[in-house]
Amino acid sequence: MINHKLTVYSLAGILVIIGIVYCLVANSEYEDSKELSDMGIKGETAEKQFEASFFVFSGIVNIVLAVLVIKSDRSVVPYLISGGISAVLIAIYVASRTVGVPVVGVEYYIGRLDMISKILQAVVIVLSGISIHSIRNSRALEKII
Amino acid sequence: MKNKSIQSIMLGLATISIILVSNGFVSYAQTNSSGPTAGYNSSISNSNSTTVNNATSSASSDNPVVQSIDAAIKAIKDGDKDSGKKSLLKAEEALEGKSDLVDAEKRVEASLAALKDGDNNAAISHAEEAKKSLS
Repeated sequence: MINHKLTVYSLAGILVIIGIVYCLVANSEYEDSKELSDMGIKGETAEKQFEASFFVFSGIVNIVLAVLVIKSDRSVVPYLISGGISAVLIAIYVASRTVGVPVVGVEYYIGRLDMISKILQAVVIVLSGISIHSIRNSRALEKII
Repeated sequence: MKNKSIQSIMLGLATISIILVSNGFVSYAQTNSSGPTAGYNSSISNSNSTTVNNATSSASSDNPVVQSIDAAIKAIKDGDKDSGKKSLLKAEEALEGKSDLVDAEKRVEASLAALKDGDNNAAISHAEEAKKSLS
């Protein structure tokens, strides 16, 4: 039980950190878009604005998930969503650096904040899996008792 | 209780492993971000400024975009990030909307991003790749 709580709070903390990292990246993209807009580079400005919006949205989703994970009472749903969203975000990132994604295309640079968020998302997937396993085990134990 | 302790230890080990493996990947990605030019990038990463100097001077061109990129590379090497950024933005402006030069544009954007991140070697590497895409 103590371990489960530790996992839950660790997971929530990491989700909040990921949310903050996304907001930092979004802020950076927004600054870039303003700079490009001042120079009259419209295409790239629109791309940066789209990226900033996407990162703000992702950041908010991660922070909301952190709250849901803490508030969940032995439900696996928040963990499934957290792990699933993290996996999707990693997949989108890999696609953006390889085959390209709609609107943005292929990006060549792998930034430090990008890597930090991907590492943390991998940890979220692992912790979500452990939490789901722990909840299912305790349910099975309750049935036996 | 014993199982819980083992679970905690395994969790810790898994987390540390992921961080270590990912750090290795970051280092690899930073120095090999241009794929086919890994050897070239390695030479830049090793602070072999002679290689960069030769590449820059041998690629002198009448193309204003190439000239802007060359100016950016020179400025970055001289430690003048602001001038480097301005030259890269100038190149970006010239490349915008040209569908046949998307790859060069993306390389210039990568160079700008690397410069912003403080990774001068990657910025120079991507700028060189942009020049190659233009030739």
